[in-house]
Amino acid sequence: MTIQEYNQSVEKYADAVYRFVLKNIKNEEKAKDIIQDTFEKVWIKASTIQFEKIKSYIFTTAYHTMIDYIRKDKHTQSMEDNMEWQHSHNEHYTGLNEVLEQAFEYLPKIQKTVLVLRDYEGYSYKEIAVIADLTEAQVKVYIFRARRFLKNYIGHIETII
Amino acid sequence: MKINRETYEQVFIDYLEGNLTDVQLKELIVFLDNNPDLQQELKEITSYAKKDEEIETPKSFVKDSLKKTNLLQDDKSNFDELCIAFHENQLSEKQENILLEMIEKSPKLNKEFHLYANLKYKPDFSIIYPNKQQLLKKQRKILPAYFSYAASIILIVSFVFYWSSQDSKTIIEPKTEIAESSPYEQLNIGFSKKTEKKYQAIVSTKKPESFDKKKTIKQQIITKTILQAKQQEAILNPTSTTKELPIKNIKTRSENPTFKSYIAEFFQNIVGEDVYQQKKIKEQQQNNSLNPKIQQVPLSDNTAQFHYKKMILGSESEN
Repeated sequence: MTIQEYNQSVEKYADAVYRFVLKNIKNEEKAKDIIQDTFEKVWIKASTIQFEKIKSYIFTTAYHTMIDYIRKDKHTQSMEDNMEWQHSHNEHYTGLNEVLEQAFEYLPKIQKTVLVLRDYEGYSYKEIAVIADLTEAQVKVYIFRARRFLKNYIGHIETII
Repeated sequence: MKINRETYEQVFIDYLEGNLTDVQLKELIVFLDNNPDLQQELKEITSYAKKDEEIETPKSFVKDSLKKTNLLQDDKSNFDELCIAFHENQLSEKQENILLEMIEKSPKLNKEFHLYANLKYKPDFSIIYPNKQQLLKKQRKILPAYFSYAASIILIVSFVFYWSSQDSKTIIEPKTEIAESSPYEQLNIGFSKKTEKKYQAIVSTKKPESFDKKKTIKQQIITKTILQAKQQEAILNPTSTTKELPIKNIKTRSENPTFKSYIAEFFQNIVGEDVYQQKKIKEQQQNNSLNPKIQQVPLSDNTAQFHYKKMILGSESEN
């Protein structure tokens, strides 16, 4: 991969991978650090990466970097403490989207990851399996469980309302 | 087993497990009445035991999640899976038809189906990574090859100019070529031209380094010898100074009075004193005849003065 291709991939995927990480860890500063680390790792390996596979490589690296950050954070504070939603855009959620965002917080981490990769980026089960280091069957199961949980959560809220 | 404060724990366990007989149970009640602290302890143990029993095992959930369901079966048990698979584009055409039939039949299922349709997260494109410029790498400008050639030539030329200018600035100091110059010249002692020429011939012929070393040692020995000779000469004849000795010009050498005295001594030793004195008197007489006013001989020559006085006295007595 050349410098031009690397810069092209930054322009193309930096925002997407940032949204993916931010959605998972809910902390802007940490998300920025993760993206910084991710692209540094990508640059180091740039000579060995094929440009056609760069998107997958970036998301895989970002996912693993994020996991490392979460593990480090576990020593200081639990993930639940980091779940403060700091973004102004959150205020715009109304109705179903707001409920979905609430429900998202109750999902296990791995289900969050595969769901975001699936919905945000439209990755196939196979691609998600590569990124999250899972089998294709596991990805499918996690997505099914997450959807069913969300549906039950929303159904429960609707009955309350 | 009698119950007391040492054995009560074992009785408590038997009580919790229901292994006590009626007699043992009555004994336990009496014991607890007498020991209210242990009565409290038994209550706590009993509450923990009940809590463990109250935990519900999610039997149905665990088993259901492990079961493999047939999506094509025509019942509502797998409706969720069909809906999810439909929105994930994982259903075949046949499966889709079965699902649509189920939705048409039941309005409740229809509502659930649409609920699943809205369970997809949509990315918020207003969120962008703010430090994107920091991630970009600057491309290095690759100069053509002739730039490097030109730069190297300029460097070489400037290097040459620099060194040449340094050489012109350096002061050329006269070399003290001790090895090249003759030791006879250094001591300013007059020696024959033959010896000088021989020495110059040796010096001018370039020899290997080992020879140069030998040559240097030889020169040192010669210099030392000459110095010793000069010192001895200075002791024997303090008035004579080597500086006064002319080196090369024979005419000037012959005019030198010190040299003349050397020659006189030499001549005196060879031909004998009498002959020398006679010759000297004759010379004196000739000088007197040429210049009669000069009646004196050099005071330094006592012998000549003696003979001169004798000669005058003789002539006076004759007269």
